[in-house]
Amino acid sequence: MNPGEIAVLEGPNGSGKTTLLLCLSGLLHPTSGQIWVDGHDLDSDEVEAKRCLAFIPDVPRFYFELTAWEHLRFIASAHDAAHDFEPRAEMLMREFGLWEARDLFPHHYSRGMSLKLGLLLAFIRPFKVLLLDEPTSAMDPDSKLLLLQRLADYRTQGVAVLLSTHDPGLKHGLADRVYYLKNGYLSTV
Amino acid sequence: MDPVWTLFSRRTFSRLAYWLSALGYDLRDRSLGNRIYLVYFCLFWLAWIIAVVALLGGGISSAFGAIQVYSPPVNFVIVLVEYAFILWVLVVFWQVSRRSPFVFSQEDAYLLCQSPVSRRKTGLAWFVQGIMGSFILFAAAAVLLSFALVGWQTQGEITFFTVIEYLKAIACALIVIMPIQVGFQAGLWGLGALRLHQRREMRWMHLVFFVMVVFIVASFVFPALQPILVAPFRLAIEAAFMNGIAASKLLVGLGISFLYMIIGLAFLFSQTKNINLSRAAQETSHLTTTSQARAYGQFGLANLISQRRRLGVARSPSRLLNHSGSNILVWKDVLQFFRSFRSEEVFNFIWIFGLSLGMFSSSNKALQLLLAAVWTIIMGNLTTRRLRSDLARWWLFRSLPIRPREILKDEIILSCGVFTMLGWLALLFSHLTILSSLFLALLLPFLAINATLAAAHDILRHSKARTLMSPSLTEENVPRQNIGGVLQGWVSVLIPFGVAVLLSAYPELMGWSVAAVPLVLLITIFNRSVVLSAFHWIE
Repeated sequence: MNPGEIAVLEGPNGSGKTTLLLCLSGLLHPTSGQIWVDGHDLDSDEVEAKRCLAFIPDVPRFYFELTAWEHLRFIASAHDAAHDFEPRAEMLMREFGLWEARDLFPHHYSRGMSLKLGLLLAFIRPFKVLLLDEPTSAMDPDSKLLLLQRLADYRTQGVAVLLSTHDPGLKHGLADRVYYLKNGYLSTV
Repeated sequence: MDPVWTLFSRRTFSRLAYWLSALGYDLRDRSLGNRIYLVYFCLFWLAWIIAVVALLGGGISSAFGAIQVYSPPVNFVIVLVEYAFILWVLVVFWQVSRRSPFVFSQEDAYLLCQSPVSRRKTGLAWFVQGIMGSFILFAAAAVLLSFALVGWQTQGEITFFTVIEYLKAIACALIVIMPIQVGFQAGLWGLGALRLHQRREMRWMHLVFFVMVVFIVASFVFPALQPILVAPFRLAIEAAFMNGIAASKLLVGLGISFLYMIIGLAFLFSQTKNINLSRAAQETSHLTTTSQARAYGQFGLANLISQRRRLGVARSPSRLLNHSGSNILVWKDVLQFFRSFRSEEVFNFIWIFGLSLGMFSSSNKALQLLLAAVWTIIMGNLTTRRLRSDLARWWLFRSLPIRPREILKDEIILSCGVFTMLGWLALLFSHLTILSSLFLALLLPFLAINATLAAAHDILRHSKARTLMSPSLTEENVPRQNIGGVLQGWVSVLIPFGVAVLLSAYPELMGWSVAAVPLVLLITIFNRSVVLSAFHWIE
């Protein structure tokens, strides 16, 4: 994938889209092959590769004991991105409509809200590659539009985005390239 | 057929079948062999109950001799039962003032509570189901105490006449005590039903509870208040336990007891007419989830559900100072520890302290090693809790740009540190020489780290990324320490500890016990490397 490119990953259920994303994000070991992120080998130079990489699963799970705000602080600090944390976090939470719910424990969030919090955990810190697994599956139309806008902004900033989706709106409105995955083979549409 | 009755009968049958199968009888098997077995089953458990009652009753009866303040012991029993009733009423009142006594599952909430079934029938059916536990408890207590009293009077002598005395006393206690219990429970559930059909929260119930507590505490300070406190129960309970009481007094006691039952049931009957079942389900459905999880042995899941409820909905941001980089994991762990801390966890600290004290100061070497083995298992379970919690959030945890060795350090430093300090405290209380104490104090952190690393290795070895990513509720997807981890822990802890303890027992070999230090260091290095490798290679 190239910087500033948005690619959409398509394929029938069970074709391996999530598995591929898990491998690319370093959460699952590939049986063969290497993954390079911005010149860093994900296996041997894991820390630097992960600084550049953000992945949001379709059903993110959070710590019971930390509120949404504290999750953001935790991730920002872990990525050494705590500078100006509060105004940035407030801006993001307001933008995605989570500001009023910032002190809630995420297990009280709806699925759509959880997904948005997952996205914010990525957006609160710098990255060069963004991997999204069905990001709009539980989102309302306004939030979807907001996400599209965000992704378009990231494209102009040189971020590479790979997202798996069944949503035709995302594919037609945003994708520079569409990959189709079936029976273990990846083809360009 | 009436839907409430259908549900009630099916559920009662299913519960009965569950308990009978736990005791060894299959209610669904209609074969002749099983029916013959039923006779044996009944005889066996009848004999078992008699034996247990005789054993416990005999024990209580002999304990009466030690209580000199209340003589004869019947006075003690009367006071005991009165205060048991008062405390039980207080607890149940507190419960019904906060949440519905009628407990509904998620399925009930969707199917039963949304339908226009009779609220009264539902309330009464749920009361009958709900009363069983406390009913059996009170009945067992009444039987035991009356048995013990007769045993004390007859000095445990068994003749035809004393058997009659036992049976009379038990029957008398049961027919007086049980109606009181049913009456009070019905009355309290009636209050719960009253709360459920009110639009607003009934704050006066909290006030009444507070007044009751103040009155009970005051009765201990001013004994003159005690007769007022126990007055509602005194005549009935005297009638239940005073052997040879006049028939007129027995009848009065019995009359009071049945009066309580009638009033309680009438109040419950009147209040269940319009109870809000949806509200009851909303307040209680989590209880059935946790009790079902416990019934199937999923204690971790039950604890997590309770923990989530205890946490509430929201918190203001923590003021705990945080640092960037890998130290943020320690910040998170401290925050999680304080937010999820329960009073029961104090027992874990006491437990580890006691074991440490035993393994350091016992004069029996075999016992020392045995205690060290138990200490290893418990340490492994307690110190890897945070690791399991992090593994359950695999996508979040594994995406952190932190080196595995730093993750490992931050994962164990807090818990190992706390438990090591408890061990050092135990060393202060032990009667070892200063030199031995210092030597063991030096060894202890490495033993703690090794117990933790062994458990962590086992957990990581059995973890699968796919399972960790599965979108279910809890840490239930994360493996627990298993036999492999226990064995590795024993090897890692018992070898250096054994070298230190056993060799120090022989003056000519005492110098060699220092070998435990390089040994424990080598084992720690080995364990650390296998844990890091297991972490890296989670498939």
